Amino acid sequence: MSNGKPGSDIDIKRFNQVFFEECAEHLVEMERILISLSDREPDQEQMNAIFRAAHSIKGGAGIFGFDDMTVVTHVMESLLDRLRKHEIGFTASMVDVLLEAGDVIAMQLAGHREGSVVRQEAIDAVRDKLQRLVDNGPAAPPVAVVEPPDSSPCSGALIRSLGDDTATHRFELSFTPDDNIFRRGIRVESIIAELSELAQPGGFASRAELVEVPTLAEFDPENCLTRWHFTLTTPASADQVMEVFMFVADEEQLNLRELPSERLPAAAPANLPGATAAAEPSTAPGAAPPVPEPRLEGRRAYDRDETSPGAFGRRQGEAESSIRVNVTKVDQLINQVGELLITQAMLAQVASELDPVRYETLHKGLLQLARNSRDLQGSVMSIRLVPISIVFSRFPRMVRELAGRLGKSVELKTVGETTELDKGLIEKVADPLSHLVRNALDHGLETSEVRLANGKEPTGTIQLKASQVAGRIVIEVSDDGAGLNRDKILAKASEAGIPCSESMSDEEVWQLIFAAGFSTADQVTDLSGRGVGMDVVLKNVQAMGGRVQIASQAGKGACVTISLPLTLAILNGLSVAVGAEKFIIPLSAIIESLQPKPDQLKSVNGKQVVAVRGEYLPILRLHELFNIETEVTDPRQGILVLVDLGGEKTALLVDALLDEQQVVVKSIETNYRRVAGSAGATILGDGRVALILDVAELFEMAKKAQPEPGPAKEAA
Amino acid sequence: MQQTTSTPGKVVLTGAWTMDQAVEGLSFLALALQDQLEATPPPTSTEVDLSQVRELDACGCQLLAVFLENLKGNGILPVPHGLAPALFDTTRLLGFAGLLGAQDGPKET
Repeated sequence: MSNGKPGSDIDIKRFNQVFFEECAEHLVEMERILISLSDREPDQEQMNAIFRAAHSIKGGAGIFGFDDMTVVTHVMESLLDRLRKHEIGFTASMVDVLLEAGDVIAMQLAGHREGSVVRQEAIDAVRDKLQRLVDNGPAAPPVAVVEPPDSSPCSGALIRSLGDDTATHRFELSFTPDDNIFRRGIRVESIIAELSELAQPGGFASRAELVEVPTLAEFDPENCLTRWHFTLTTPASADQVMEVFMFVADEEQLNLRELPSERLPAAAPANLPGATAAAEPSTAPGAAPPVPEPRLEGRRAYDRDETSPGAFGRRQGEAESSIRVNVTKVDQLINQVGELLITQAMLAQVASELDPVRYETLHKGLLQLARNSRDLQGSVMSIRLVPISIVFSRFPRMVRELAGRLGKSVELKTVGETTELDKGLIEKVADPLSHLVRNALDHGLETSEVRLANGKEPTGTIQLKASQVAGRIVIEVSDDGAGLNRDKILAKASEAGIPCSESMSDEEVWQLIFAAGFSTADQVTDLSGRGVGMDVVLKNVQAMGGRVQIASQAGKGACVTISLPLTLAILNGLSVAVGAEKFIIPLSAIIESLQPKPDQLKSVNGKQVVAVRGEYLPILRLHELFNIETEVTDPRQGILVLVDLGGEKTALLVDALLDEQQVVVKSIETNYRRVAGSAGATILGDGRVALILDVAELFEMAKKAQPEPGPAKEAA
Repeated sequence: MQQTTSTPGKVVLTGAWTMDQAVEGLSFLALALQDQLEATPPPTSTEVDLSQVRELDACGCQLLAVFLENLKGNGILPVPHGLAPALFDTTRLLGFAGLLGAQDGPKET
């Protein structure tokens, strides 16, 4: 639908986005409840919650014109409805089908949101499965059900599903939409139809009122000039009535009040402009004098009334505690704060050259500015932090399904789900964690029979634990399985041509599993065993500036620990000088720095290495890599910064160490072009741009530049 | 496809009256109103035949309601009729039954 006016598409996209986000939240909630059921029958509250999620998705999809998304949700509703009415009995397989339906809806959502492929056959298949359950579900055990005497097929089901109690409410609601509601593609008729479905048979009346009557010459027919007045008798709560408008109306546009049960719905105001008596209420309750009562104006009014729930699907109090903001706006804010920090650093640098006595006030002001800037930075960065439960919540289902396929009994425990992590990291940490959980399930945990034979509980445990330790986020994936098998790892590593020896410590042996192509799996399954897991885990974690550690005890289990920086936007680095240029080396990668003595420098295959505590580390000359003129070309004149990347070490030759500092990471590709060996850039206090080194890429560049190390010789 | 034919004292609406056709519909109705106002003598009432309308949504209902109000504002009593039962239910649901005042079935002549 288009009105041919600029900006209307943007409006529609903005509102669609709200629906997409709400829909995703409903899907997550639905999945969470279904997984929590295991194979148990949902109780009334859980059934209502699943139903509400499906119903909200269906309603929103219908309103926004995503009709394809109503197909599966409609049959889901039918199934849940029959379950609620005890017309059919619950079976554990229903959970699987409902989860599959959730996946299909998520696929449709992704199709609308990102344009990804939507497989119609998957939609058809799950719809058919649901329909079969609706039609042929097992007979329900006998349950005493009190049916309302006048329930009709069209509305009674919904009433019973939505109403948690048998109390009937009478509401009067006016809805004054914003004037571009038609342009936004919102189908008012769908909203009203949904509202009417909440009402008991004959308990709904609707009256449209033109708030102004323009001449036809002045009239923009796509402008909404209508205000609607509804009265409904319903077992639904005020919250549920308001939920109908959750995607389309602000609280100011809705005016809801509950009528006393003995009172007539309010008569149409007689003197409103353009008002004419419209649909009469189908019910004819006895008249009673109007009772003055406070107006409940949208959600705010509910919040004043502390016994009422919040509207728009939120719990009471939540509305005031959170707002939904587009992530690009947050990123923009972070960038602006970054610019402010750079400006502040520049001012500090300039001021450092001024007489502190004469310019005392200026110095004090700049110190205050520095403090305020840092506080502001902390506050702004915290906006991007989201709880890791977003990632953890995907694992119960994964564990359930994989355990079923592997025939293992597994309990998943999660600890520290409220630990917060940068949104950018959250998205990237999900894959490595999936690998680790899959590995723990497939390789780590034993079958119940084996566990019993080894004197363990038949059910294995996988634990996901997150915590914040010393400015970093630590995530542990542990299991109480068999642990890593040292002999097997060494044998496989040797077979694969990976350098190893019996004299290696356990910690060194565990590191072998991060080698590309390494796998100890006896059989390649579709879960794991192809040897493409752990090296990918390591690379992904390192790309985030993180580290991976493994601990294992034979027969007792293994624990993989991932340590990540709090954010990707700010980095703790060491600034170094190479010729006239400055570089930032991430502190997380640095082991130490040293000025080598002549006897530490050796030659291997014609390439210079440095001997540090029995290890020969290749020397990477930054001036050569970045083609910089400098007088420091001999390591004995400069400084070697030793960096470590997952056990692999190298020495970077720089002219001098300058300062340890927090830098704001800027994309260099956005403003210039990609520079090999750099992970971005930052602006220093003197206004100059410094490249932030990508240590992993430097390693790759160094490998290409020099042959494999052979026997070491004394340097010439 | 949407059409309006009008003669003094009678306007016949056909087709879909929805958001998608709202701009086009307004043009038709503006001409129909002009026909009524320019008739000599101007009619005191105008029959609005809705029997050939096949689709209505909230935007379309609002447009028709504004048209009828414009007739009234110019001293012409609109007499809408003939809306199909299914569409009449739609207008009732949307709260426009009173504004459109439409009756079931075609008007007996």
